[in-house]
Amino acid sequence: MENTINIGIDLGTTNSSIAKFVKGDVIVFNNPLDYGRSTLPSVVYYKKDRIVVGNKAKEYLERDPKNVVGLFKRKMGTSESFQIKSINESKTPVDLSAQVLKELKTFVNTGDTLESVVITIPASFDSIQSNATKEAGKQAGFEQVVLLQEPIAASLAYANMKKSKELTDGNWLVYDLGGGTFDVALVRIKDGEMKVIDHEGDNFLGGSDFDRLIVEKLIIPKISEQYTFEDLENQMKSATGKYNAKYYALLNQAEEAKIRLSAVSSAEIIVERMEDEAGNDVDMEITITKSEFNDLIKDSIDGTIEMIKTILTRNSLTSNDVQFNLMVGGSTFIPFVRQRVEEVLQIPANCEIDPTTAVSVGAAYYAATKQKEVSKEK
Amino acid sequence: MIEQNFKQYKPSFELLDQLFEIERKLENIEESNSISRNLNKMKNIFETNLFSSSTSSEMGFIYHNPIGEAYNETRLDLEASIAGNLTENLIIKEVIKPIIRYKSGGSTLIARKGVVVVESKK
Repeated sequence: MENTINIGIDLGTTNSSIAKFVKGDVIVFNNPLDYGRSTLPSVVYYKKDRIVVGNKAKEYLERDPKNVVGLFKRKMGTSESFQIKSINESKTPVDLSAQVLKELKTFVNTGDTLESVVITIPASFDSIQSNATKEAGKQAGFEQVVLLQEPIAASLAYANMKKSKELTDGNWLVYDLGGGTFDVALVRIKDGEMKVIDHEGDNFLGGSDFDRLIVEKLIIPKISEQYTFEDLENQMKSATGKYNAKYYALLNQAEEAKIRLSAVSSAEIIVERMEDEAGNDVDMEITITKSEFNDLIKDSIDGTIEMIKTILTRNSLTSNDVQFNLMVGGSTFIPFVRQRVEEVLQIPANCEIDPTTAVSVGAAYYAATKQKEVSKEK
Repeated sequence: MIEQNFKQYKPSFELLDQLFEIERKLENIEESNSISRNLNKMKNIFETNLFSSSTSSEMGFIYHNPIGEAYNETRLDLEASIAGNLTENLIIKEVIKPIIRYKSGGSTLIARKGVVVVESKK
């Protein structure tokens, strides 16, 4: 039996993942129900007879808010709870987090008995929120729960990839732009000890906002320009609107275009199988260029840069005092995000780790240094 | 069961998506028989010839258009967006990408999930 914990969990606001340290390396487990993905959306759906966690729950999130809960991590440590209509019960953020953790346990296909775990928490969590996270771990069946701050976990993933050689005393930033949230932390290493010095964040900024911007600021105006519609945006966005289904189809295409634009200079979005109010068939191939997309997200990215400037000023630091900016979270795959942040701040953007799994990978490395402390009697 | 090792076939899936689009457009064309013949031959190549070798059993990919089918959270072969404001009696209203299945011998696996928009049956 292994004596160290070895299992690390990124219990994210939007997505979670689980990883294990095995013989000097870390493996991130795949989601068995979600074709090749290693992340689990942190969303819980209560049906009368069962609980659904992850992607399928996320599909129902917007349309069935009385039975589906997401973003509950923001409420950890508060007295707030969520009334669930289907089961006529209320659930706390701890209960919901425990469901996510239980689901993550099903990813582990190595036959391990999961008694001990390292779970990551945001740098902003106070002791009440931290204890709530521990409680969620216990409720999910872990006997021993060790907490680790997310920026430290990401930094550890980087340090282990570099075999620690390049991490000298000094400061760096961890810039975490995910699907729905943004966090940035100033991390300092001194005499081998890594600490989060300061942090900022926006709970309402992420990659899904960029998909919406593509549809609302680029595609809908282009359709409206060429065809006859009265208030197409409202007809698409409103749940009772005539073109609501088309809105979701376009969001899907927008996300694909966004991903393609990381590699190519333009991407096409095809709009068809739709009739305008004059009875004409809509048939358009809309080209979105990288520069159009960059212009679209510029204000959001500049907002994140302002937060970094605030951190630097608050800590009497300049860009020269920061070694690098470690890019974490799926949205940092976007080249403009990396370029803009680097260009404005004059701090090198470090994109050497996998931004989608860095936090759970770092947690697993940390877990490998922690002794298991579980009761022998079972 | 969802197979996880089909990433290498992504270009083939993109071709199948295009065949699916052509087939869908053909539905609106009168006298499309001769085009349909070519389309069906191409689908057949994907299903039986393209990936088979003399040493292996017949294997290939087929796509399935789930339009009009019922949808609920137990369907693991689809990724859905829900339109409208109801979540009961959902049916597939728009197919963005068809389901692609892998066939080998007598077994079938999901090689790529379909992407759909669903809405409550009114």
